[in-house]
Amino acid sequence: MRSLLSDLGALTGRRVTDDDLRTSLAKFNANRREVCALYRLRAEQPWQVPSAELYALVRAGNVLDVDDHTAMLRAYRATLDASPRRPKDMARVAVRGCFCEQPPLELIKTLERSGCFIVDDDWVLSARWIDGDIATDGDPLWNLVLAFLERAMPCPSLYELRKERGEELVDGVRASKAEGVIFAAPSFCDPALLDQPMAMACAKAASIPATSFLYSENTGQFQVIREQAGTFADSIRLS
Amino acid sequence: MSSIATSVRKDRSQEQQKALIADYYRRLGALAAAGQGAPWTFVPGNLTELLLTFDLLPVLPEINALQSGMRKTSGEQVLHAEKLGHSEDVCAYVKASIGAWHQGNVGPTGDPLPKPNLLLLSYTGCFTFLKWFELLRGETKAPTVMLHVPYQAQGGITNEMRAYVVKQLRETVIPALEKVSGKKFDIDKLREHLRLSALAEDDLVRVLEAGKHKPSPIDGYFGAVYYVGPIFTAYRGTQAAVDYYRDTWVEIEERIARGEGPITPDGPMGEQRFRLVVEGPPNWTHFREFWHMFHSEGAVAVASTYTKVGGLYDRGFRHDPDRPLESLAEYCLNCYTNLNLSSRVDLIADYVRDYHADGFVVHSIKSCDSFSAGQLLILREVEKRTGKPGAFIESDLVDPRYFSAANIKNRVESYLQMLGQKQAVGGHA
Repeated sequence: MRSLLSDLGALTGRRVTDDDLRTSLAKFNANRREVCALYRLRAEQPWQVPSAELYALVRAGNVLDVDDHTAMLRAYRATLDASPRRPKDMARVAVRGCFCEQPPLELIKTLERSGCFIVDDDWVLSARWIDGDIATDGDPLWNLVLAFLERAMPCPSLYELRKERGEELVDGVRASKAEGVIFAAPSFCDPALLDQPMAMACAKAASIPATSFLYSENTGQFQVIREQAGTFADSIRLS
Repeated sequence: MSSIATSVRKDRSQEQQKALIADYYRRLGALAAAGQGAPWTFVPGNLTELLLTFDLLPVLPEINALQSGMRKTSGEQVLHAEKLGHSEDVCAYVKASIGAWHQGNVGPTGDPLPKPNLLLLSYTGCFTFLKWFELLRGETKAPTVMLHVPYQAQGGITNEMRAYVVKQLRETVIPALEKVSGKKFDIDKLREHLRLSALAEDDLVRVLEAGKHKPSPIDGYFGAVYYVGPIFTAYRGTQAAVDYYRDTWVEIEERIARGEGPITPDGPMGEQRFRLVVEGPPNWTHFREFWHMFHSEGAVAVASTYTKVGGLYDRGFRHDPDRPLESLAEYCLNCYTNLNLSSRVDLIADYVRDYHADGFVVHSIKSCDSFSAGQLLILREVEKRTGKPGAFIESDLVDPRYFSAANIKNRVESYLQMLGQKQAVGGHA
């Protein structure tokens, strides 16, 4: 981390102090709190926070200044509070497999149009990578290292030693009250595709309905996916 | 083009190699028959000397997969895994290994394999290794120990990287091996295995560097996979490996003295019209057919990167009995799979120059995203640096569905014709 910081300093011509880092940690803590609050709201009232909106909003944080992004998240939240949407009867699903290559927005809209409320997902994980705040006192780099090592979100690209693969999926499904899981992995994504058999087995053992399909970032045809997801949603609602 | 012979010709070292590999599987079979387990681990970053110190014999899933590929049984294993829900797009070695486990855990020679009593996950740059052992852990319920080897992202090894690996060896790996074997760690025993490793490594380097001779007495890719077999499996650090590489070097020296080329499965190689460097692992399911496409056109591989995935000994590394854990750490850090793209380009460009190659071939593996990513960039960069033309062909490791013989043959022949035309115009390619 210190080498990285030094290299970045050389690249930008700006030496970063510990106080600079603490300030940055605090800003990203605030941002992460807002992101996670919206995720919780979506799990509770998915009709209020359509996933296509949430995804676009959170992904915008990859290119915006963190303070601007936090303000945008708060403004969105205020809009939701001011104009509540009407509840709908749709199947509640968790989507997995997209942690790295991000799905096209149309794919998410397709899943929602097919009758699925997405109440849990693994998109734009970097926005909520750390569970909770990172301490802003003491050595900021050390705090960052500890947070990454000990409080990172489970992810197919991280070696999992603490739990059996798939357990975190079941935990996520239970926490979000999802009724089923859709595995939507990008073609040729080894971590997601290698993870899938283990996650599917765990879902099956926990009696969680699941279905799977592949997509690619430039996928333009969604009719097949819509039919598959729609059938899956129907099977959940009718069971 | 000559046809493929119905019987296979082998030289002395290949016969010895075959006997060593057969004996390795017999010993694993005996362990399984006795109801004993064995540690499972990977070739890159293997800690064979350390395992031998505890009288443990490793099982190497990728060796099992490739041996199954050569024996035409991997296709069924891959299909079996896909029926269990594994994707068509992922590493075929992984699927062959999962399939074999579900089909009774029998090795490629028909001998049963011991169940894992430890999954020793030596992680040296191939990301799939992590997922592979997570999958096997789920299947076998065996305890897992991970040796995390930092990637050479900056193109070198720092003292901190070495110390980090040594610390893991001391605090995690050795205690786990003590527990599994019921034996205390004996560093002097380890030193003796490392001494034997270094002796074998000296002769292996002589054998592989013989490709610098004209004509080359070896095929440094297809033929050399036989040479690296024993040191890639369970023989590094043994007297058997020392003897094998000494005998092999004597055989090669004799061939150099007689001005002879390598023995191919179809007989002694004739005129060597093209000297090639090859990047990437071979296809195992059609190994002979693949080799035939080259040697029948007078193309000999003088050097390859695949023969270095078990250790870059030709770049100077040796296991060192005076620095036992440090040299094991350096071995892991120096694995070819742990090098960044820039270092891989350097290595291939050096081979093209040092082995006086006319060109180089990248054999890209369809299901190996970890290793194949960046190979087109490697191709362009090596061409730029050496001025030698490269060829790009694609098939797979052990999934027979992805070996399209007609397409590959067409591409190889076109490439070699182009080299021939360059020779005709300029005197050499």
